[in-house]
Amino acid sequence: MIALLPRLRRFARGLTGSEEEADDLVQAACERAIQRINQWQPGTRLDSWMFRIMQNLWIDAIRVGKLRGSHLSLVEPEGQKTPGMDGEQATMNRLTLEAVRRGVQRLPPDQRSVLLLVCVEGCSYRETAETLGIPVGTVMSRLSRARLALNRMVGGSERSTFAAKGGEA
Amino acid sequence: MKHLDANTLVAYVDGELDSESARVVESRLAQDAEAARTVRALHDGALLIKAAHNDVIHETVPDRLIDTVMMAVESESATAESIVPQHLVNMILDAPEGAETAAELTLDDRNPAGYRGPMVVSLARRRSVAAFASAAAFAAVMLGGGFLLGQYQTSEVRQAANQQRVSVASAINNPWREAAFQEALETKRSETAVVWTNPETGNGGAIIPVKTYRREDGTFCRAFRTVDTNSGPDHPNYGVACREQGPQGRWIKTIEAVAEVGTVPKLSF
Repeated sequence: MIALLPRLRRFARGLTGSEEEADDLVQAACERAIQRINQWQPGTRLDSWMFRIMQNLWIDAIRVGKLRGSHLSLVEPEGQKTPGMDGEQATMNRLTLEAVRRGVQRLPPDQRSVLLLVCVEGCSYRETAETLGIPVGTVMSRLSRARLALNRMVGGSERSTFAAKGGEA
Repeated sequence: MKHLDANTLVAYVDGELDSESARVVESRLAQDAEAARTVRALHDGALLIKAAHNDVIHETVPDRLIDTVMMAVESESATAESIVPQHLVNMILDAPEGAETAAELTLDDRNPAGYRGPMVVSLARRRSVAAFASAAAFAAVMLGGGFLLGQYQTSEVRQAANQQRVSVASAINNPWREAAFQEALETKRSETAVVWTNPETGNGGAIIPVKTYRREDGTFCRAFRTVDTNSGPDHPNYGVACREQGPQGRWIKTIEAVAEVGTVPKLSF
């Protein structure tokens, strides 16, 4: 579990967007995991189990108002529109890491955790679904909405006709 | 698959489509410039999302998190109704699977991550390095219980002289207990008891190391638990002892606390 701490911190930082809140979350998750260590199924992945505990604690904290959730204004593109033929190249140039982090923090919590598990933690859709206790179809729809919203927020000029599709399964 | 919807494109970028679906997507992408642009943006975006969140993986893990894990394990282990099996404790604390003897383990001092992970070394090889034998054997015990060493500051220097007098007095009054104390802290894995008996009085007890630290100056300290025939096994005492520098270092008790029944005192350094 101690070996997992760097990854737990990475996931928590992505969820909360704050170093202090993230470490508080990791701490709470470790305490809960150890209290319930007998519920962990040997042979299954400890990291997935820990991610799940952390995700649940985080959602609980948002619900009772201890942590802020998302700002819910996710479709407003940041930065100026990039006109013309070189729009895509210019767009890519503006994709700074900071903008990505800000964009992730503006996603709804459900989308944020799916995005982090798949894109940052490298989990498969199936692993992500099992970790979060949701169907694979839900993983796909949340993920695609998050990715496209992020492209719009960060890229500004990404005008995709695909964005509106893919409802919650 | 008549239309390339967002879910399909994202799954394609993530390599989650089966090979036939992926072929269909590729053939359609060749004719759909906008979809192809979206795929490229999704692909680049995925790399950026990873890069934007990856720095934390290289940061030093705060001591408080490592301490949380170790403390939580201890208090769980100390709660009678929820005994945590040893293999789970080992898993939580990252001890190598099947690690039975302290001699299999030693320190990896090059680890920059803020904690010391156990590293398996060849026992035979270490024996051949006679100059380091004592230190290595000691370090092996330190990690034998799977406990990791945090860096702790301490205010106990000012207490050291006084505590040392107490220790010496204890050693004179009860050399059997003192011998067990030294043996336990110097040679035993955490949670391994050394039992002592005073043949003159019939009293006896046990010394059990429970946790190991290293202070900033490199001194090793171990929290320990003691029980004896006077107080009974349900009333353990807790304390901390630190080891004098050098190959023959003695363990000097620096803190001793009487625990409330059923609790583990928070030991602060």
